[in-house]
Amino acid sequence: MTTAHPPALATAAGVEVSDLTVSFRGGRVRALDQVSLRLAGGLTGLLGPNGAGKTTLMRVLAGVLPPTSGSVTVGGADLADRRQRQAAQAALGYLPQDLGVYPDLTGRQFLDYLGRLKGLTSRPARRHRVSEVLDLVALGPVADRKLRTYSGGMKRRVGIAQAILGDPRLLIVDEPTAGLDPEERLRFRGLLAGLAGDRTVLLSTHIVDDIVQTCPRVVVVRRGTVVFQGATADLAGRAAGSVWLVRRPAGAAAPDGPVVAVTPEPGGTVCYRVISAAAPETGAEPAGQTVDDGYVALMHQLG
Amino acid sequence: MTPAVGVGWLPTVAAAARFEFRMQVRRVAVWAVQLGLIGLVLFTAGPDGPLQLRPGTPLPAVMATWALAVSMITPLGTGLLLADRGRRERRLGVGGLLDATPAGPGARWWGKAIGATAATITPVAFGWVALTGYLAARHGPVILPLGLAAFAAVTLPGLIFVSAFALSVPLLTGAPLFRVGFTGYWFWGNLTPPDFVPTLAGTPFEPVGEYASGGWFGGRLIQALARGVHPGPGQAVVSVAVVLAAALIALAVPRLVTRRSPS
Amino acid sequence: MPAFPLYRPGGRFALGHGSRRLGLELLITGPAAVGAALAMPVAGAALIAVLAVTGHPAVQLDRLAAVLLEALCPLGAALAAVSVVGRDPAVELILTTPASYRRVLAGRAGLAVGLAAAATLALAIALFGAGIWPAGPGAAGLVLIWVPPVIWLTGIGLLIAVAGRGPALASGAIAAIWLTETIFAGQAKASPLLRDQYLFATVSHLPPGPWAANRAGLALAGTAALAVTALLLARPARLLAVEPS
Repeated sequence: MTTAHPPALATAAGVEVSDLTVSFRGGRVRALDQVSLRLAGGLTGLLGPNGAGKTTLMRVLAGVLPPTSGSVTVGGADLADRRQRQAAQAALGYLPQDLGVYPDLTGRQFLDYLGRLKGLTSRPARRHRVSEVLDLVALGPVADRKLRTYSGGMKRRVGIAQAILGDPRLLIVDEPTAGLDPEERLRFRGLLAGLAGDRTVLLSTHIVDDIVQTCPRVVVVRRGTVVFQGATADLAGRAAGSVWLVRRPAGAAAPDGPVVAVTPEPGGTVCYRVISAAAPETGAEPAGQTVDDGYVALMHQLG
Repeated sequence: MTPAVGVGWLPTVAAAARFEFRMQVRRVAVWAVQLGLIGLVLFTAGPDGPLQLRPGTPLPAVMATWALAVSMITPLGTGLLLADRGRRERRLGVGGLLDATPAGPGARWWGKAIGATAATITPVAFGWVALTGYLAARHGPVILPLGLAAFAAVTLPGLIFVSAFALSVPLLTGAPLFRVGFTGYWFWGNLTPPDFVPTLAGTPFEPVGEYASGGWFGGRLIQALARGVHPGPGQAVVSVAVVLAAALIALAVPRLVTRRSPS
Repeated sequence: MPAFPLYRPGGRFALGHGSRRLGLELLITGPAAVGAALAMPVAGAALIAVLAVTGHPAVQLDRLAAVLLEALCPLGAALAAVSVVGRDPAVELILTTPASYRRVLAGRAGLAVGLAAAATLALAIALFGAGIWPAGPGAAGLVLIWVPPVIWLTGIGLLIAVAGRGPALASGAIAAIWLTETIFAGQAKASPLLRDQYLFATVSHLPPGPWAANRAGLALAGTAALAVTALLLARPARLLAVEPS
């Protein structure tokens, strides 16, 4: 099968970010600070607390925001150059966290419109492709209803559909499964996993399980800097020897330190999963680490 | 212990008004447009005042004429700035969230009307206070109560009238169509000479405050004069009452309609 | 996932693709903006028709025609044009496509102004045909009475809307500028510099020479404002919230 993408973007679009800084309000707010990372095909998760700079990073990679300093290349295209950025965007799929739609358009019309903007100029092929992606996200039966009548989950699926519309080489998705029911979430995971074979997919989510299940690599951002990039399994290793189970009677105060999980147990006790460099109290039981544990340890600078 | 559920009508109105006031008063556009329009009034005024005020005019008439000049122009900015506030919750997607609270939609609506109106009028009041201070320095402190009275009687009813319609009508027409229609109405209904085209200008139905200006303070008359009308105090009362009643009706109708047809 | 062979690398996004895209842009622009574009010409036509039928003096009708074409219709067109700025729910998505947001916005504003212009031209032709026409411009007025004020007000309005990231400040500013020109009519006509930026030259019966210079001045200044607006839109991300929440 042939593709008409520019040669540099014929396969997965590798992403190189070098010393990227993004500042707002005349430099008073630094959303990203000297960020360097590399994405080389496949699925990569993007984790971080609210306000860490994840959305800013994704907007820069999508060519929406210009860097204040540093360089970004996508599939060899330098985003600082307008023509190269347009070429990169032609092979980009992007799903923002806050997806805005035109309420008076139908789902089909919305995708058709975005397809034109993405450069899919042939009407018959574009219409065929729109129908294809609508079926992929199970919106075929409601494709000709106005978007104002769609539920939140249906709008999310429209967002996913428009992101994959142009057969992108780089797919950036922000909280893609928000509002989806469990079955839809599983289907979307399968879709992403299938796409990631010959594409670069960056998945930003607060649902760590989505990353554990689908992303072999993960980038963790905190306060505008990258604090971890590597294998997802290695993130769990950041909490090695730091995970403790503390049991207390129900109604008692929680133990000190970051708590990853709270589980009520039979007999009126509550089990707290705590991250601590040393045993937080006598009787604390050491436990094996998970990716959640590693993330929390990293955020509290214990890993 | 959970807090008692049940929020009274007045506390809801007050909370909504406070919130809407803060959200609107901090918009740069509100201050820029309103102060710009007041600046226009000041810039076009002659040495004795706006609208060709003559020297030796009694002070009540001076203040009323200033209030009339402000009232001819600032409602235009008020209407344009409030046109997008009525549907704001729907646009932001928080309507469902607010509907799920104990705070009733009626109380929230009236709170919105009060708060957003107060916020949009605040720069006008600010400019008026500054102007009154300046005039008091020229004419003496007797200007101060006259300034307050003139603003309340001549300018404020028109601003309230415009605010009410600017919040309600766009619920039906959308903000862009309202802005165009309102601009056309303002000129036709208040500033167009009655001998040019049939118009409401110069009648008690005009919200610009001419009847209050002439009837209570002996201030300048323009379109009413063109009709040969010299309004007295009674006619001023009727005019202000009609304008404020229209404002109340404009705010009440959306509530009545939505209460009858829940979505 | 099948390959998609139809993207042409380096291909430009075509602004027009027949009536289908126009239809979509009309839906996106919204019925309110479309109504805003048509409101002044339609309301004006109705008003003049009623007055003409009820025997309003001809000289007043001629003056009303001038006010309508030169003052009110351009105001409506400009207000409709600025309403498309800063109210795009999908702006972030569009910014990630190769399409130029500058062109997308220009298309939508152009659509609003185009509708207003079509309605105004139709009104002008009807008035001219009915003999309700201001003295002076003649047949040239079919275009020159209203087009230069439309360009001027729309250019200034869009510049403020893009700089202010929304229509509220721009519509207030347009109204304020319009009012200023109404109030300062005398000063504007007297000053050679201001005369060429005076919106109501036809209503004020400017002599033919100054009238023609005025029309050219308005068109040039409006075009310059549009050019500056286009420059501002070289960084369309300004229309996004500066800090993502």
